[in-house]
Amino acid sequence: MEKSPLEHGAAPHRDDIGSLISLETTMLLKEFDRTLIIAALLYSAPYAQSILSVQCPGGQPVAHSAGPSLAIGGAGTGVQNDLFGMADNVANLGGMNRAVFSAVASFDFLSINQGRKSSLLFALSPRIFSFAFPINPVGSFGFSFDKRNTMNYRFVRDSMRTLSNGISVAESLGVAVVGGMSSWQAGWGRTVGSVALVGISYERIYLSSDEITQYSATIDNQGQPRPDSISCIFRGNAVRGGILVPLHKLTFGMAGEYVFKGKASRILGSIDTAGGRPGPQEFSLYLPPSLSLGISYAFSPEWMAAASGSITLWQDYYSQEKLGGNVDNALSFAGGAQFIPAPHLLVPRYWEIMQYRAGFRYSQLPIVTASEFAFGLSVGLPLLRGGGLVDLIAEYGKRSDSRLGYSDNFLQLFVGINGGRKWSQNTGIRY
Amino acid sequence: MRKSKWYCPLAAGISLGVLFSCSKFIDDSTDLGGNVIEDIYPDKVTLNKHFREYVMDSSALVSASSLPAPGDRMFGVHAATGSKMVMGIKDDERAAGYVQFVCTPDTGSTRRNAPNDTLKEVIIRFVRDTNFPSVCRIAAWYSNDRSHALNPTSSDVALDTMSFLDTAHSNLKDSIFHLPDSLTAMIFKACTTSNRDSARAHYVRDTFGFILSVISCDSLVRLNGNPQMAIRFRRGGTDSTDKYVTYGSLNVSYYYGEDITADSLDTIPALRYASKRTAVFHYDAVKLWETTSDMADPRRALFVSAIFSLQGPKAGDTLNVRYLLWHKLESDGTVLDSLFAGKNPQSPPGTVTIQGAARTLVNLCPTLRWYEQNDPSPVLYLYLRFNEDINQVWKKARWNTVPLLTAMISVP
Repeated sequence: MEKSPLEHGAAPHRDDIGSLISLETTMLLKEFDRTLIIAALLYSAPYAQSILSVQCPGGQPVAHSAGPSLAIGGAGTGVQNDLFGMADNVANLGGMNRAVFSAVASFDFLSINQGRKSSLLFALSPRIFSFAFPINPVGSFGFSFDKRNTMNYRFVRDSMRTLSNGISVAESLGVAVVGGMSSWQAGWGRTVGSVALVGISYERIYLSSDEITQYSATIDNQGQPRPDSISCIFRGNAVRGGILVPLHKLTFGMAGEYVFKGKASRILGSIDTAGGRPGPQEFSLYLPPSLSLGISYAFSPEWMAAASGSITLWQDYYSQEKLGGNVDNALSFAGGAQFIPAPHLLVPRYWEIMQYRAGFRYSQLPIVTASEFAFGLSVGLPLLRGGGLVDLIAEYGKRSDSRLGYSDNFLQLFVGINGGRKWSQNTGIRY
Repeated sequence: MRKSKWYCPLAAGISLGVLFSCSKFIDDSTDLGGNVIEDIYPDKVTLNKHFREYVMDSSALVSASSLPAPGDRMFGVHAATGSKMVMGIKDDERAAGYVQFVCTPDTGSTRRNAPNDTLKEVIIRFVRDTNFPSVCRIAAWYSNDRSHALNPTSSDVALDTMSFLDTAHSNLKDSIFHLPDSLTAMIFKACTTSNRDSARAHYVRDTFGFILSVISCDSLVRLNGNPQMAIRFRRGGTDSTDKYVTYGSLNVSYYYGEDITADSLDTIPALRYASKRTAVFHYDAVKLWETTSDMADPRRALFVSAIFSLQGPKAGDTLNVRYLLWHKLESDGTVLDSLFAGKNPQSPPGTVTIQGAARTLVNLCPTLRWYEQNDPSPVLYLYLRFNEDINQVWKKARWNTVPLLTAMISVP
């Protein structure tokens, strides 16, 4: 294969640079396409989520940060790092000087234990795909697809009973719920002097849920189940804004989201035609705003720590139709640290440039008695030739509702792909 | 050129995911956490609040009888499955065959170029079954009335008798040779003369029907294959080996009848294959529909199972039975045949094999679901008859037990 002029070490010509930029862009777009296709496939995959998601309007919130942020518990609100993307703080766009993409998928294992019984559930869960690029001097632009909430459970209950005529009936009831909230957003960010980075984004939110309930009572394995269904769809608009203030080794960050009130629709389905089908019913839905504060400190090139706290104002939530249970404001807190043994060695061994991270997070769920706690460990594997980073993250946690005495344990294995390329560079050549 | 390999671990991850999802250690669903769902939606996962049962007792049975009534000749019409025609007599049951040909005029060039052709003969050919009895003769009548099959009248033309054993025809075939001249002339005319119906703008088709019945045989006689009628002609003083037309038979069927005198079968739930005697159980269904009447919204109640228990009448006997639930007493055999053929989608028939005296449960949920939602009839009739099976021609049964309904209704 023919080498590019830069690889020969010769001084690049303007045309060579043009073709090189074009070549690099083509390669990046090729990988972008491939990522998009894989991400689209993953987004259609199911989720293994807690039954507690039934309590949360719109589904249970899930961590939807970029890989490096997930590795420190999602405490990325106060971190300035282009690989963190715009998921935690849209102001992060303001500090970018290269095109960056990021994708995260997780393998979710969920264990529910009650008494002597237990269930183990699994699903592959894509979380985020984002892409951002700088267009100097106007700032940087970013696009991302996020999975925000998930609502997924398959509950089955069955029993046998014998009727007065001696015939045995197998009764069963199954509830399957699939859905959640996804969004895409387009954002812009830039630096404000040398004081701060600011960013703002428009967000399009999609909330959908499909619930199918199946009633079955079979005699001698004969019978016809009755399926009933409820579908709920909401398409709304939101804005997000953020600011990052770097002060030497310290960085403060603040991010917020406001969702505009919108119309949702609900469709009831049943094979019971005599009862009539009411058709789509529209209702008003107002999803809660949220605010997040974060801080990070770079002790040295090797060590960095971050923490963040956020609140989702569920008291401002309003829905004409009942979605989930009675909710209250939900606080969350996350913290984590990162260690790179030798980030600036010219000829390091591979383990010396790997990123070692640990983090934890605690979140109140929308129901006041329910919460979630998790801690995680991860390694970031730099791609030597590509300038990218592969994150391998293991997070173990527990969700519970103290009032109902319910809890489940989860293990999430995240795989994150991050990459960055400069689309153009200053060659220093003057003609 | 550098080539990024970042998608390799992702592909490996997806493979791992697929592997895990196929693992036997992973559950598809869970029965745990019901209290969480119930906290949000009370009663949603409480099973006994979603179902109500209906158990029929024998007091719901109004009557048990069978069809047809004495003298009703419209029962017992069997389509000749596999072109098998069956004839015979056993005890009080008789079977006769019927074949019908529809002749359309030959307007092809053969006929147009030779208008002076004259008829030589008309032949109707049959193929006998390999188990044809050694001594047996079959009589034939010309009759266009199929209902005469069991009792040819004086208006029907007696044609000939056939003995497959007497003839030297190969391939186990034989024919009716001696058709009267008037009949052969009529058939020849039908197959050579265009007779356009000006009102309908198409050619009139003449129909010729023939009754076949055994006259000297105790055994069951079967004729196989599709009977054919051929018209042979003479052209220019020479017999032609050609035929204008060979007509395949339009209808091949056989008819059964009962000669019941002493034992009035119609008062008991009896089944007979040959005569298509059908057991009928008449139920009062008012209590069935009342099961849901106290519900907040009975219109949303729905049958999720509705099972009739059928107990076989005799140990060691295997019965292949068709069943049907209907809201009317149908004494017309043609209508009942149509219902058992599944022509009415609201009440699809079913087939079940009953072994000995064991209890067999049959599913009638779709039918009851339709009635419940559209027309809760105060009476229901369960019909039972033998399934079409030429190997059980003389099969008989009397139903000793009352089929009773057990139903489960979901209450959303």
